[in-house]
Amino acid sequence: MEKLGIQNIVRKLRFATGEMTQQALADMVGATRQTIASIEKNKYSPSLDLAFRIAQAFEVEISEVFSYEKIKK
Amino acid sequence: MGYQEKKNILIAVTHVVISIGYFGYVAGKYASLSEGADLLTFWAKAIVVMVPVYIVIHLIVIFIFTAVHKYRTGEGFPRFVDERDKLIELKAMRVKYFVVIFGLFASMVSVLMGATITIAFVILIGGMLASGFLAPLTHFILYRLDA
Repeated sequence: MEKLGIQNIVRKLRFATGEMTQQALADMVGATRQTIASIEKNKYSPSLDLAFRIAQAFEVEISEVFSYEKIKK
Repeated sequence: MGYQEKKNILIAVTHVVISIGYFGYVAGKYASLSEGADLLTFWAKAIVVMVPVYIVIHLIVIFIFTAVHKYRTGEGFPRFVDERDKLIELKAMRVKYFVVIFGLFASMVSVLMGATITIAFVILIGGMLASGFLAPLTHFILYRLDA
């Protein structure tokens, strides 16, 4: 059985939004830079609250940032 | 290496240094105990004194570390801890409690097996000291692995 997990395109969105830095995004959403780095590497799944704040920072729907799919190795 | 990682390494190292120093002192006191001294009181006192000693020294070390860190990097205490920081802290605390409980359990088992009060207290204190070292180490490793 394939393993499913939360995947995201935060890194892609960050670069698409004027090469925003991890620190800038962290400041916008009220998290630390390390947390953003961890989320981008899919090593940490954010809470629903933080996920919504990240989506809001990019002005997109949460489902456009996060998805539940097969974990990429 | 960030503030949190450096701080946890420092806490772990400080813990080992204080433990060696303090229990070297306690061992010296123990060796000079007179025949028939109340061992229970002696070990209870060793633990009761240990707690504030550790807290005060840790506070001083963290204060100095933060001042030096701020001077060198311009960063002080992190402005806030976010949800991931709290989760890592909880995991580290869980490790700490497991080790303390294991030490307590091992200590009680040693008493049941006929060990002396001194052995039981040494195991108990050993568990407490190990937990104090393993908690910041866990914190550091989780930060490293996740970041």
